[in-house]
Amino acid sequence: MHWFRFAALIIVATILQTSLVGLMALRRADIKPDLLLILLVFFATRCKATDAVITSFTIGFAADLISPTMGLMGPKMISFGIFGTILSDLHHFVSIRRIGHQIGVIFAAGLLTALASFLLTFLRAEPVGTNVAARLLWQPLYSAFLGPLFFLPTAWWMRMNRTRRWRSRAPMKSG
Amino acid sequence: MLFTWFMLGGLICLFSPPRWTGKLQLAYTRLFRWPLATGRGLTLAARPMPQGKGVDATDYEKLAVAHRQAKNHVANLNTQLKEARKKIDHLAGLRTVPQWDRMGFLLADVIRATGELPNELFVNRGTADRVAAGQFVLADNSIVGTVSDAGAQTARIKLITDPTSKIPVYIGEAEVPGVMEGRGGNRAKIPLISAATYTVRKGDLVYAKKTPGLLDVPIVTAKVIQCKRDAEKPLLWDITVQPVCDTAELTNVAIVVAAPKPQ
Repeated sequence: MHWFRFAALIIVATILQTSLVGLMALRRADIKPDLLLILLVFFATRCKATDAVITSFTIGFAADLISPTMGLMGPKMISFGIFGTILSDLHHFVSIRRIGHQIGVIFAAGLLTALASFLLTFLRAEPVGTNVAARLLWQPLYSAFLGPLFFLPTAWWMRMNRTRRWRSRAPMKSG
Repeated sequence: MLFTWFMLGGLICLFSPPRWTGKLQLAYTRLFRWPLATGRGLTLAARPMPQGKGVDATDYEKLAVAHRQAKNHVANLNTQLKEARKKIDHLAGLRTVPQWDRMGFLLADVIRATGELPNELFVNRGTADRVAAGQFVLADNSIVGTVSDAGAQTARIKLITDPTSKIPVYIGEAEVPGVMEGRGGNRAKIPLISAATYTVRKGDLVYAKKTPGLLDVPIVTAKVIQCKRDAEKPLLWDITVQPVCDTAELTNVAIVVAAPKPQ
């Protein structure tokens, strides 16, 4: 795992998420792809279990840093960490090689992390100003459709050979 | 084990005081302010201007201003109606006087030089025109500030968002009393409103209280844009308001000179 490249990637993703991604907003300002969610799924499905835990929590921490709710950190770190770890474990049993599967996984991860962070935010009794439907449904759906497109440049930047892990795991499956 | 440590970190973040975590978020914004500002600028530049269907940009601007004025006018009419009903209830049988007729208005052009204080305006009317410190100033049928200083031919207007501005107001239909204090950056706050006693919602209109000799009737001045529990004093609301008038685009205002109109 190239940690320096990972840090640079997360910084760039947070900056893009808070600025230029707004250009891709559909109809309303809050329906836009979530780059950090896409990265969460990418690293959770392509890293070793230990690395997946670290990357999931780190991406969640970055998502909290750019959260529109000022002064509230933790909900995304926890939800991303939990679901990233679960996804990493599940990936040992379920392959998401096909585009359709990737879309489904990103959508499911987006839905669950948004729901968990929504509930955790509610724990702190902070007012939630954003549209719940947009956060729980439209944003994960939009991210899911764009996600596989971001996987290729991310894999190139992280020097992650897409096929290596699957090939290395193929004998385990058959055995 | 690693997962447990990270979970612990996340929970610490979650239950840390907002001012600590807020500092982290501010530090991130400060650290990357240049790329963030550039990206934001690019986004705004690339986003198409909102326009009505079949209306060109100039007409759209005029219609938007007219719409804003009409909305404020309706809000003022509603509050006048309420005042009138109160009077009728309490002083049944006595003749009521239309409130606005008792106030005198003086139109003034805004003189705005670049580099001046952003929360103040200078207008081309002064003591020679009966302008005096403390008088209320209207724009788009809403109170935008008060006269803070008047010379012979010019006057300085302190906008409601000026950090030194304090105007007695009440909020919404419930008439929650308070004092609106400017905070700069087109924002003002209404502090010390008890969360246990009053209900305040985002979107509630804020009215300048009537002040004998200066303002004969409450007039809309701002709108609540954020209302949440005060982080440090949870028993109080933290209310942020924004002027209902776009003060950045003002070209003229009306000063309430408050003297009775000549018969």
